[in-house]
Amino acid sequence: MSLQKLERVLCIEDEEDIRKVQAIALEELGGFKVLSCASGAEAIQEAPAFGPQLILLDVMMPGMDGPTTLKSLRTIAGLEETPVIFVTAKVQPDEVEYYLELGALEVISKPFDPMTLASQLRHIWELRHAR
Amino acid sequence: MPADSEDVKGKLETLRQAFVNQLPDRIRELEKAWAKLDSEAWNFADFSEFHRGIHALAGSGAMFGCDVLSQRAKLLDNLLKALASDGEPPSKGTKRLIRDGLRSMKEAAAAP
Repeated sequence: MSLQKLERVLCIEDEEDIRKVQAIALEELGGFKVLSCASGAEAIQEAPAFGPQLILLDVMMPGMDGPTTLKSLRTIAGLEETPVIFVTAKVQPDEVEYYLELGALEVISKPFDPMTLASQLRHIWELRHAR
Repeated sequence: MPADSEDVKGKLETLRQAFVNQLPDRIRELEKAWAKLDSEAWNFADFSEFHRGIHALAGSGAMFGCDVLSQRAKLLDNLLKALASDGEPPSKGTKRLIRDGLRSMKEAAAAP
């Protein structure tokens, strides 16, 4: 089976500064099409039309946090199995284990390196398809 | 087509500079928010907004390499998180710790 090219990434992050960094890193270095959402609620509205292949999801957000957003995204047709990567500063082994148990494919720690974020996503994407 | 990495570094540096330039205003806003919280009947919605502002500086500060500011904001963030989970207004001692935390963030923001 040929590997589908990663093109569309949904970023859910409440911090405007970090959203901007993610967008620059992923659009300009990765060449991805990026949809940035400031909240879980916004993502739930916008994601179906965008059809993300991969979702970067902040864990600590006001209102609907990352884990709650993940559960809601999973109820949307077409997003039931879309890989989700949590982005968080909380990366103690037990915390990472918890995120993986929730169904995250991977965890990227904050602060991330914007210069390598796109290649990191591409690597995770390729590994997932190689499994 | 992916952009030249030097162009991207330039754009990221512009964002970082904008963040640094905004720091005095952001700290001032947090001080004002705290002064209001401290002087009136405890308001949990205003407290959540204040906490969000501190949490944001911890995250963005780390992203932009303002490590001292980020670490100090993180300490205050942890204190506020504990306070939020208590669900009670802060004691005098906790209020003093919050004031100290804000002051130390202001010092760090002056030399990011």
